[in-house]
Amino acid sequence: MPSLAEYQATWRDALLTQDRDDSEFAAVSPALAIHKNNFLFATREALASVFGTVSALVGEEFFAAMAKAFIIAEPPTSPVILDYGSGFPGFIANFPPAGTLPYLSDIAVFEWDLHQVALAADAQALEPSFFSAQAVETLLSLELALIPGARIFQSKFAVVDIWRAHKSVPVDLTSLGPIDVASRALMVRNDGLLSVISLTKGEKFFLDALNNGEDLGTATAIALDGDPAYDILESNRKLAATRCFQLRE
Amino acid sequence: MAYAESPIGISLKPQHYSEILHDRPQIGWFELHPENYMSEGGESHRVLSAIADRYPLSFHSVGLSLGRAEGPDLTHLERLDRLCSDYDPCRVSDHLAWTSSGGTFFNDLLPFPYTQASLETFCNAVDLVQTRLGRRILVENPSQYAALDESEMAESDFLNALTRRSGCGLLLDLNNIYVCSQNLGFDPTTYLDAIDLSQVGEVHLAGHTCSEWMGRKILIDDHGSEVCSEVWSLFADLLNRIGPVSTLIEWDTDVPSLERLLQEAEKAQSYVRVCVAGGELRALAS
Repeated sequence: MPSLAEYQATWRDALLTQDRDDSEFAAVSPALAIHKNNFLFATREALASVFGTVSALVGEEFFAAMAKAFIIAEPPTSPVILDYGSGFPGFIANFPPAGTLPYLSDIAVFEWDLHQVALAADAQALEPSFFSAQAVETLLSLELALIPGARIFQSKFAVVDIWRAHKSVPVDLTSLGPIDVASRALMVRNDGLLSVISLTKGEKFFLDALNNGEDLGTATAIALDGDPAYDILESNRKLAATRCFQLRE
Repeated sequence: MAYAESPIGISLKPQHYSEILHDRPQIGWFELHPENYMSEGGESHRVLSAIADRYPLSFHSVGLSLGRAEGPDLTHLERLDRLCSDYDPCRVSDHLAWTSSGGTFFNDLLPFPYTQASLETFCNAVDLVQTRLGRRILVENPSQYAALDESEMAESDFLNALTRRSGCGLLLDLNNIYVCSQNLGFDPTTYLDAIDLSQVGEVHLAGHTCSEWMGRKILIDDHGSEVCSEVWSLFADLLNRIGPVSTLIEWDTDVPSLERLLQEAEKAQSYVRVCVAGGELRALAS
């Protein structure tokens, strides 16, 4: 009789095998076949709850096949299934059947980032009034960081528009413009509310610079350098209002 | 605790958060999977804090993997311990199963053979968990889809030995007993005869689905429908034997409205009322 460790090693191998004929499998061990089905189904559902737009774009059947291939290739490592799926965008990028949708992987990155923002540690963001109360020279030397519940997203495709179109009920894709237009966005969660705010090129340069440890003055210079159309006052007002900043520790 | 007098609880589901906070339904307690609250922050924590102020919580873990050869998941145990410190649940439970092994989490309650060796492993795991959490835990009887040839003893004997040796309690899932009885072919009341009912700390009532595998009818405990009449009969039988006990209406897939869940809970409550009044419960079961 196999030891418990041997028994579980056999089950592990069977649960993680991709290419077995399911009906043959069920005849050998119905219990194992049912549990494998449970494993794949529950884990696929977890992925679908995070990657809803990806699923909508490819259809349920395609998503199920792609999710199964991913689950077998990179199965969950922790019982906290909320944390599962970080590798899915990369997997999609290298999944040949999805090759006709070059933007699909970026949609997955976007949805994963949004999921992370929703679950990130709570933090008190600086209020817009904090900035308006500072003298200009103090402002310029401020060292800011994004709160944990804020992320910057960028893609060479119109990912944010595609995602927004899939949020409408019923889904309305008629207003979508060309797909190969770059998108930049800030995701931020405050008071339980998740917002996605489109960014100009300059704003993206500005937030990246802050994230890289530059002070506010230097970040502004970098934004102007990268985007001559950067409107300092307008962007400062807009970004302060998103309440995405905290003082860097 | 506002409604602690009722022994009936329901599963806490995100789609009901705002209604629960707004309407404060009359229910004894809420059950939740602690794994779903192991994020650093976010909406679920804000809601859970508010709910924990008003209702007792029962933590029903799927992540300790108590039945695996390499011992329980210690990283997960630490996270569970932190969550217990944050929310002070009235009960903590996991399953007579393994869910992860060799670095992979299989997101399902996997069976293992009931042997002296696996009993030893399981007792050690429970001992370790109870010591770390500083509390008694409950272990739930699982659903089985086929008998495991490697088992040396009956599940009830395994569980009785486990509670005796480790000091843990039982989470008796009556739907699982029914599902097993149909899949493996036995009379579910014999399970109640065989198990040490004095160790029961929580009871689960749930729905199952009937499926077909290779021409064979198999019941699967998907927790996606109302409790069936046979399981209500088992509940009546159990109440006649041990009296009122903390009981969960468990509904995890195709989650219905909160109103519908509360109706199921009220049905369970009506069984308890008859039981407390000294009534004969079998008649109610039909």
